[in-house]
Amino acid sequence: MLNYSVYGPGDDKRVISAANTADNKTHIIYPTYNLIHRYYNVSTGWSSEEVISNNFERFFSLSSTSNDLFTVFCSSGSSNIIYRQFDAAPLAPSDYSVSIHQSGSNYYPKLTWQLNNEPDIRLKTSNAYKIERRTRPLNGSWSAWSTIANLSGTTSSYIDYTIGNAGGGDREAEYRLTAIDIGNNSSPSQSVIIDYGFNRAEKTAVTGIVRDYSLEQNYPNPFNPSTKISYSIKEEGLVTLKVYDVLGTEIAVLVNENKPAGVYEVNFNASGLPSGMYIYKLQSGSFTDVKKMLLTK
Amino acid sequence: MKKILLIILLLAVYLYPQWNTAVSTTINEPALFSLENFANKDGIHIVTQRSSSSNSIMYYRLNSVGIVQATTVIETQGYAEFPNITGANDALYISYRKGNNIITKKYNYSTNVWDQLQPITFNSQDNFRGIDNVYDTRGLHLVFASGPYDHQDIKTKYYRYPIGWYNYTDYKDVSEQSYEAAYPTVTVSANKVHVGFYDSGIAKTRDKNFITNTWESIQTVYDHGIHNVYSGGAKLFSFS
Repeated sequence: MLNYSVYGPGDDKRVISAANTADNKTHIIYPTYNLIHRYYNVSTGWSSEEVISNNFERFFSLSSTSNDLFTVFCSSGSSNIIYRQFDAAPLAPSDYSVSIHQSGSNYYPKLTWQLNNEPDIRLKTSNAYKIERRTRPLNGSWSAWSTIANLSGTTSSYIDYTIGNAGGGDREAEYRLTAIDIGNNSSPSQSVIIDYGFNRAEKTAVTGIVRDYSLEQNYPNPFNPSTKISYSIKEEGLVTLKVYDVLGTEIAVLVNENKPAGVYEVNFNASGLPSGMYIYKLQSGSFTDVKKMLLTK
Repeated sequence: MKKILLIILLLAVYLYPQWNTAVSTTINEPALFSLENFANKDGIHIVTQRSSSSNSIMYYRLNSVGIVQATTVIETQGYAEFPNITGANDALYISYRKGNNIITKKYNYSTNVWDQLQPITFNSQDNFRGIDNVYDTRGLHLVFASGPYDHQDIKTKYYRYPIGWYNYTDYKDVSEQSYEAAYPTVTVSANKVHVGFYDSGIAKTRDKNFITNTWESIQTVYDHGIHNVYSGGAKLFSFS
């Protein structure tokens, strides 16, 4: 139990004003001869007193966001309200992630995060969010960090147009995000990594990462009696690959099952079929594609 | 070695969070009678009560360096008093007593206007003994105390205004058999709302459990004095 003689309660019967912070501390302010701040930490108990005003402040109030504290107070004999901020480091930006942003035929890393709640970050028009980047060949050594953007406190995304073909490849880019408040207090940094470097076809071949559905031309074509058909699935789902004759009669079902995203190849054996033109059709989700193949015996 | 220690000390002082220099704001309230603040992403929101023949309740918003960004007259008539402000990152509520009504105004982020909620009316002959509010994901929690006599039959009453609703619910006479349940405070924790009040010199609390949806028994916290309850993490504090 704290045992303090406080002046008050005043007309509003306020004994203390209290606020919690994100670091699990409960802060109070109260008037004695001075205005005092103390906080309670579960592991260490009550802190020692800290004077935040040398006057007897009859009117006082405390609030918080994240780990920052904000107090306003006023003496009976004064008329201007006094403001003080306990300026703690910002929290790390939450929900920080990287995705792929398509522009034309290229793909770029897109970083997104939730805006910080501290008002001394939102207020900044620049240098509130610092983004740094380093790169390396897969399994190679990292380059030095370099700052690539200093953004405002109300910006919650950034596209790195200097890194092409993001989402697969033989290189990695790591992006570090730090929030910085007006007092130049920095948050802990958050980090995300993305591959980059190949064009789409190379990516599929090398990494197996698939960005889109596709149905490839069979090989060989013309064929006798068997041929291979390749296709790509972007998202897991039911996949059907069927062969029809030119009259639309279903000849064969090559695939009819759920498949995860990936690149597949299936063999079609037409040893029991007469020569002629055949059609094969791929369906998965909303994707449909049809191609022709020629059987020559 | 000494230089290294000095550098470490200077760095520790520089990096350790601290109170910024006090700022004398341009908010001038020569007849100040009450002062409350609430902070969120938009800044520091302040309500004041001026003491005068009719009273005024004012709202101010400071940015984080103490510059006034907004000033709004909330009330100028009807002897308004005991203003309290609470909210969240995207919500602001001011509650106060005006005559025999409990008025709550909610900030409308679309129109930038303070919209008034349905008032709570109490007996016009009643003595009034304080109000408090707090906001969380369950909505606005409001307590006030009033009663027909100066020091007896004062009741502490609880109301909740759920998010998205257009009226109060969960009314409860929190103090029930208490003799003089005055100067209430309200605070919230994970599953409960905690109401503190002063009953004839004794500090008491009563909690509502939102899991079981029941009010628990009144507890005596301290044997004398007006007290303020405050929920901090897993602990409930009482200051008297």
